[in-house]
Amino acid sequence: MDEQPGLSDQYRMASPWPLFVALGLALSEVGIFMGLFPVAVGGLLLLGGSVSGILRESGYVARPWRTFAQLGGFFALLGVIVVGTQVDLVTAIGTDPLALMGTLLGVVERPSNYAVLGRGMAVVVAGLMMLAAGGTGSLMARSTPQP
Amino acid sequence: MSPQTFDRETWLDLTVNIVPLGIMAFFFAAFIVVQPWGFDSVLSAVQFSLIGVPLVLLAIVTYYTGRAIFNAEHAE
Amino acid sequence: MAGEQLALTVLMGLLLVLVAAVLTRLEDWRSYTPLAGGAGAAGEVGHAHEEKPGGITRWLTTVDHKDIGMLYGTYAIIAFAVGGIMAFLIRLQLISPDGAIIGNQFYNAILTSHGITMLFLFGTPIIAAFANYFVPLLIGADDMAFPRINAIAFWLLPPGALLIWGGFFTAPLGIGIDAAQTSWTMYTPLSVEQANPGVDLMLLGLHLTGVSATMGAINFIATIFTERGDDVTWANLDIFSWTILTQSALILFAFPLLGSAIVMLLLDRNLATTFYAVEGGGSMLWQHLFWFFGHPEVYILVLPPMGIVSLVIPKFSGRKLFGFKFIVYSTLAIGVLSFGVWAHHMFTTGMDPRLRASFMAVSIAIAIPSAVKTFNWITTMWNGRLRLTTPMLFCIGFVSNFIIGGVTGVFLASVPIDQILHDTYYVVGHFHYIVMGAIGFAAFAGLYYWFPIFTGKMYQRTLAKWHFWLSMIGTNLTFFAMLALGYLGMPRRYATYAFDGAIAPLAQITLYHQLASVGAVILLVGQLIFVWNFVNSWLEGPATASADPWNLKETDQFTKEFDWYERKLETAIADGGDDDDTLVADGGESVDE
Repeated sequence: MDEQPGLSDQYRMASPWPLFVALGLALSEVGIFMGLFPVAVGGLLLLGGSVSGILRESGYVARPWRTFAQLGGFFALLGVIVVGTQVDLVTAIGTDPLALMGTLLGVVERPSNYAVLGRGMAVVVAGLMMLAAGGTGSLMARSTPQP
Repeated sequence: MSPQTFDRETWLDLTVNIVPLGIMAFFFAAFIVVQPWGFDSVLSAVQFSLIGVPLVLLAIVTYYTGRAIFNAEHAE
Repeated sequence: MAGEQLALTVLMGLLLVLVAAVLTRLEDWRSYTPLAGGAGAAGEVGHAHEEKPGGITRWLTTVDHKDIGMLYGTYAIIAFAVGGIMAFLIRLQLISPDGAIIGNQFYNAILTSHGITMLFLFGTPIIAAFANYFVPLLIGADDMAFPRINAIAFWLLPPGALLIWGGFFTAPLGIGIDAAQTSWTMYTPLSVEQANPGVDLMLLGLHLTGVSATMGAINFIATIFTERGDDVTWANLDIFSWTILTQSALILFAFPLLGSAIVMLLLDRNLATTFYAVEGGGSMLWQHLFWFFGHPEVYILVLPPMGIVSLVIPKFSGRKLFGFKFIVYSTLAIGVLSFGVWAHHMFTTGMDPRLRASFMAVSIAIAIPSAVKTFNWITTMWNGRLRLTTPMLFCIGFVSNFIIGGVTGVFLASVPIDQILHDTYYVVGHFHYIVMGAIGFAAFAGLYYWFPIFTGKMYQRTLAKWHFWLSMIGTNLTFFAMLALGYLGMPRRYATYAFDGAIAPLAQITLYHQLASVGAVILLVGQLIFVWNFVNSWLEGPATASADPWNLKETDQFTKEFDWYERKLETAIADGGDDDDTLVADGGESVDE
């Protein structure tokens, strides 16, 4: 089919993903618990990406970008639940959604000023980024004809 | 666990776990007979379950392992 | 703050781009074959003929159980060196009552880190090293049940170690992150109140090693249950695999609990929850949760070494293991009962005497299965044709040290004696006889016994015997002195001990501390010899020609892992391998120099 096979189908006993799954898990734990917003987001992206990759490689899923987006949706939901413990989201969206947006953007700007909220927002942001990237990736993969 | 479950050899092997089971059973009985600190419905219940639960669990695990090994030996 | 935030963001972005670049180089995304449809195309299978890529990429991407075993082993030995140097500094400090070389804060930090390093970064990984390499070979499996999870479990460990030691790296930078000083038990309220973020880093590192151990355990259980060869049944499963199976079951119940307890502690520290606060669960909650994990952890660490010893002793006694099934059943008994004894670490916390009595009863019952094993090992050697090779010497050392460590432990299980000796050096001496004298010795026995298999070389026998004797003498000197210190009332963990002479016999205590430190020097010299011998023999030793370096065929004990090694050697020779170099056997007959 092609001249340049990937590492894991060229070699039977090698896979590039485990190292990055572990690194992603470590970074996201440190980021979330120590309240380091960028580390948390980056770690979750790495974790989600390498989990999709390893699942694809071992044949558990067929479309890695879709898995990436699904994981993103899961993280975003989880983050929204955490944020929901701090802000009354239902009321805020009902009365003044713009003010809510402002508050949340303020959290993203200075996450270290908010204990739980900052961490929740980190998970939400990572989830949304994964949703966006995964969605785009899925569309592009679909438009490319299968070789 | 009737005697027919295992043969004599297997029972011999199992004695190794019957000894600690016996020690726990001894203390279980001893604490029923002698209660120097009196009886308290909650604390005494915890006291006896702390011995009773490991006793029962160990008996169950020993039984199932004995069965697995016994069956594997007799399947040959 | 905003500047830091920006810098971190840029760093993380760069890291992700770098990762993506590396992955693109390694993986051709379009080469994946569609599972259902295209897999039938015959041509694709053709290129999957090589097993592993070369160079450093091989080690970073491997999912082969043998390679992962080697990675675990290397990691564990590095951690052993780090933890050993910390221990050596502790002993140097205690030469004089006022503290000889380091400040009290730093003493507390290395005391904490020594314990955690040895238990979580050396003990568990060195066992995983043997288990990864040899369990699949012993049970006739091609690999572990989940090779990729196996690799993930290993790669969680290096970040874990960096986080646990993180405070030592950041302390000189002066950014307010110091090494944790919580002691390895991390008792609340002390561990909640210390504001140092180094404690958080250490807790996160511990959490990662716990996740790693759990993943490994699931993998071993699945492997032993489902991947056994056709001829391996429950009746003839080897003793090492039995102990690994039991150990994995213990890990499965114990480590997730530690993980949850640690997360609760982290939340208490960072997000003002009250799990361990007086108005919440109370600080005793931590001790209960910690020891409910902590006592099984003792057996998690000791059962597989017992398996190694049970495996090696018969090989050099020229006969079968006496009472094989006794050892299997008693291993399981230890596994079950280990969850019912945790509060014997807490006899002096003022708990109800009825509960204390129950914990004492089960603690005494758990001594029986351990004693049974000891008698089995002695009976195996009794009137046997003993060959005192280095692995055998380490096994005999194990039995000897295990008896001292075990008997001192039975006394501690008894409530009245524990009330006197609790928190003294007697406890320290007792558990070091087990963790160094027994677990450490069994690890060395395993390393020497299987050295020919994983290196294809033979170690230098004289140096190895020096290593054994120095370790044996050093261990007994150091830790026996600690038992004596405990009887004199020396409390554990202290950085200095310049007591009032009316409280404690200072001259005697100082003498015993110095004796323990002399033992530590002897131990250090022994371990330096070990490292030299290990590295030098591996790199420069002659290749082994025989697949039977221990003459196991003579007594009909040539087991599956050596079978595998024999096949490997034969393949290598058929490939034009060099069979001129002969093996310098340790105790075997064909010494041909």
